[in-house]
Amino acid sequence: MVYKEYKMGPYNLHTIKTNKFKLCHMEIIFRNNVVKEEISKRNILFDYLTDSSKRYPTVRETFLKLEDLYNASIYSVTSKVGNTILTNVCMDFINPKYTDKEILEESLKLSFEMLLNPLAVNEEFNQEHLEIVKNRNIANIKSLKENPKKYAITETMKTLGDNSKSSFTNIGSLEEVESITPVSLYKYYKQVLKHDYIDIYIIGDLNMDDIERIISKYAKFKYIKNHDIKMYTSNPKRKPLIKSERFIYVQTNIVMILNLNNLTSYEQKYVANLYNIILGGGSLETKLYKRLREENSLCYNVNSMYQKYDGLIIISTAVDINAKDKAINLIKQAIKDMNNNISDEELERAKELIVSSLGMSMDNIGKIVDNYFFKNVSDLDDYEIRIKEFKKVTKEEIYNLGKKISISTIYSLVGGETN
Amino acid sequence: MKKIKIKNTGEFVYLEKLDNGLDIIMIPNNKVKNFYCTLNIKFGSNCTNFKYQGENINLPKGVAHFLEHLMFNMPDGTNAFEYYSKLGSNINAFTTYEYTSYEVFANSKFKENLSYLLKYVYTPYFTKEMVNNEKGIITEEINMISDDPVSEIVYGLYRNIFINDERQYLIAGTISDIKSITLEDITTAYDAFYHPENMFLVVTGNFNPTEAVAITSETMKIFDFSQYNKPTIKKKKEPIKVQKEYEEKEMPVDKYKVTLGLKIPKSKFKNINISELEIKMYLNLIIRINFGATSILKEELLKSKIITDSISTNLTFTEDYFVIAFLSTTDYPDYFLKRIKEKLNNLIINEDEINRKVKSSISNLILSFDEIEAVNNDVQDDMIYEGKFIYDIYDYYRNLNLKSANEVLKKINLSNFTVTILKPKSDK
Repeated sequence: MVYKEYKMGPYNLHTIKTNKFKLCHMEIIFRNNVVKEEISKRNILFDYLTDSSKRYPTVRETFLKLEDLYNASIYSVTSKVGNTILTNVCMDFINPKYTDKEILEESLKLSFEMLLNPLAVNEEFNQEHLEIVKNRNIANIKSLKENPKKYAITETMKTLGDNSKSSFTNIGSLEEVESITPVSLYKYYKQVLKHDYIDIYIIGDLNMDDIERIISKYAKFKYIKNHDIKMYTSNPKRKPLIKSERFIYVQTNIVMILNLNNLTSYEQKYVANLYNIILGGGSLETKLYKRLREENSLCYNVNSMYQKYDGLIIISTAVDINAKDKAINLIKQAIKDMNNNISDEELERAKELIVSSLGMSMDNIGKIVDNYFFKNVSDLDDYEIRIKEFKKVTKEEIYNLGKKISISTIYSLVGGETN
Repeated sequence: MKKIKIKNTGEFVYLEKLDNGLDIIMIPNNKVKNFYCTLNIKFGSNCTNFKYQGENINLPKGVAHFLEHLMFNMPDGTNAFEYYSKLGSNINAFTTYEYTSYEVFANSKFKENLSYLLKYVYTPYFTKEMVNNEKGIITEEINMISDDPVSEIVYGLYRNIFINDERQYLIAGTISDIKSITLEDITTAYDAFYHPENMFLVVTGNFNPTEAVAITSETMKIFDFSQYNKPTIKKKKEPIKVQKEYEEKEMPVDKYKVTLGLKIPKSKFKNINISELEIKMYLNLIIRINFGATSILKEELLKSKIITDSISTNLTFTEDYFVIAFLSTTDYPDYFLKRIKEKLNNLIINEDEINRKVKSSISNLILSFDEIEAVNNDVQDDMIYEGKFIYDIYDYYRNLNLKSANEVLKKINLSNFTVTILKPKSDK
């Protein structure tokens, strides 16, 4: 795998040459500090840009063009990571050596054409197409309750308060989506082009000198940015907030937020990861899994997720309404165990798992890009250093981290409907 | 061991059959570091009535899935999760209507990973206590499915379309089925179906096929497999009619979720001189062209705000029927259904569209080999539904033509269909 970076002024181009894949994958990554009121606009904007353009003004025409390019695909993913908002506009296409040479330039050209030559007249987006995109997003927001786990996590994050960057949802809000007009969205589009940092990553078995030539021909981004972007955010330690709501589900969903207070950089990058794997983020041998599922048959799923850039661990499970209190107590016991009761075997297993997961990620085209991206914009260490550091972590370091962890929220979305 | 070129992909498949009857299908990819092994049993949820060793057996629904949950335990008190977590490997298992699959995904210690997969699946160890403990867990799994509208509508469709076919029941069974399952049901199911002759192993990713066969045959030597008396599956003939033409159910959804399922007897295609695999490919092609991302109907329904996203389509098949399902989310269920039915009565297909879809299918075929899980799953599907791995699928795609497509198209009509609707339920 050969990585190369080209400084192009308004954007940086990163090429990763590898013969691992028959697929070629490009990500145009837009990055800025997150602003709550702009999340909905951002979702709508990139949705709009990736399914229409001046040349292909309808979703159908865009799909027909993509089929002509041997079923290429273009899509965007917007995610909030700590204090930042990232939008990855991705283009996947088959390596031209399996089809015809022309599709390389055509595929790259199409991606930039969609971003830079959108369906707009006189600084206004197309009303009819915007309605289609807005309707799709409104339906997504309204259907959140159809996924009890996702809904419970979203509601739990809101308990962190309006001022917490961690409480912002990726999905945006109904009021904001509804207020978007062709003019306001176009204004935001100009703002994104002017103020977002742009990085282009391309990976595949390609001649990267050709790629640099083609991309510089079509990626006509103009603005050079020089403001600060912070990745990390934090939440103040507080007395646990206990909240319970009722909804017409069969199961009762429980979500718990753990706050990680004043961690060192080493703890953020290494110790907290292992803490999470042992608690509930790893295999089916975690403390939470053993307590809730194996020993008490209370649930099908229980897991924890480490949100490094927010300084949080989110625990989630779903149980019968009558088992709610028992499940919360068992989760608390598992957290307590993390302060003084980790076996050598548990620690070794967690290390094996993380080393193995890092290895596994190197076969995934998107994760390879993620690795380079976070190394370039954040504090992610090299693959080899990460493995070395993870292997060094001791039980005492995890116990010390445990002392810096406090429960921030215990949320229950109470069901109890009959089957 | 046979080595066969998979046409137009640059890949090879290696096939071996062990003396004990186990089929091994291997597609190596040494450009990646990971490998993925799946051990599959041709025993799924739709197999509860059968004759085995002279006895008529009638198992409760959900036994195949229940057995899958228990399979990880070993007689020495350890379990497969423990073993694999020490290796840093990912393991899982799943049950479908037709088969059960146990999988391991890792990037080192190939021998240990593969060998233990065989060891734990061929070491049945079940106790009454395990059966009882698992009931609570599976009950919560069923409750989780009950809270998922998409699962509900898919199961609803099968419930309404089939009269005798066991696909009308939940793969996991109902909570009362689970309560009734006994240790004896579990051991009967294991004895009747978990024999190498009724199983196949699929290995994809970074490994050496000769080594994989050596590990498999050496590991399996420790097990004493008696001669396999394959159970005779008892199936009632499935009538042409659907069980229920229309059903509405309330759930906490924001918009209506609507599905229309067509039930088409395979016998209708008897006069067309093409294989069943080709008929499936033509049906898929016709559905994609008329209802997919590039269809005029989808564009029309989006612009008129009848739908907000796509029309999901799905083709499944049983021994005697094809089932084509159309699903979408809408505020206007009646109009949506009207347009789907009108389209089904006026299906179109042309040479350009066929060429375009064939081109994208071939591209998908080539790219599928990048992902060792995807290619492994494709092999599983072929083994279950076609009885063998289709290494020349490229030729099938290339041979798709307008004349045959039109012949297949003419057989699709609205003679037998069912509609299932999920209505928004208020929490007031």
